[in-house]
Amino acid sequence: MRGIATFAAFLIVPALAIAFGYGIWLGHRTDYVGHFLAGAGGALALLSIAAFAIRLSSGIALGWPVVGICLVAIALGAVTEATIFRNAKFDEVDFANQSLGAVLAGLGVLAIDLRERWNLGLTALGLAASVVLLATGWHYAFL
Amino acid sequence: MRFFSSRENLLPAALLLAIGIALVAFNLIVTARRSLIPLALDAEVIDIDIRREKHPPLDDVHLVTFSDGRTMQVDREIAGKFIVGDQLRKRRSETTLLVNDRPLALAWSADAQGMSPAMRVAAIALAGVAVMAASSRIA
Repeated sequence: MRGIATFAAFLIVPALAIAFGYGIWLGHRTDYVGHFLAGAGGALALLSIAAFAIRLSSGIALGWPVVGICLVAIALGAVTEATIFRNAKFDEVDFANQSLGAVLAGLGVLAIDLRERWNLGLTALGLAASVVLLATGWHYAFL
Repeated sequence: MRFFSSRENLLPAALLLAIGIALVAFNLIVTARRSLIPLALDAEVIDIDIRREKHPPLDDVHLVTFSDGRTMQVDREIAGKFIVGDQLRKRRSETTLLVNDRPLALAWSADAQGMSPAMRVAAIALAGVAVMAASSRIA
């Protein structure tokens, strides 16, 4: 239960706060919040698996690996935005919004791991949340 | 209550926060530039290209190519106010654009206006989580 509360406090609540900000002030551009949520979801999926693997296999600090994974997620987002999700052009604002989501996911995983060492339960929670974030992001970005 | 700093997370969290703040600033700059207000211009319009996106016409992309070689995305609110061959002139930060020497008032788009408070919320949320990523409370 404590893990769920920590997960919610450092990932879900800030993600919702930012998403509501997009919704209130940029409600006419649902693709912006869609990209933010999808970026957070995609990065969270990568981070959840990587953090668990690191915690299982070694006692090294999670900080720099999380930064590296966030940068990989941002780079993957740039590639997909430039290729399969490219419509009119490479949209810099869509890219920035999805990258913001990835950064939030990275910071959230660090904050959670500091209090609850990343474990199997948090990995499952992270993957479930990433599916919801990706599906919601897809809905707002494309539908 | 007091806080202790997690040395192992301090620099990584600071770097992620710096990337996040850079992305916030990038969003603000890009949406502001699309209004043309921050820019200096003295060029002829040589092409206007309207491309459809996912939610036409809300997110249509209006690309304007100028005689000085620049191709820029501009807000749809102003893209329809000039045509190919028009001479555009303005100073940096001025809100009046001269189109063939006729004044045209420029305004911040809904995107630029909305981005400012939305990015403020994003920056505050990121900073809050970054502080929590680099420190923990001891009761």
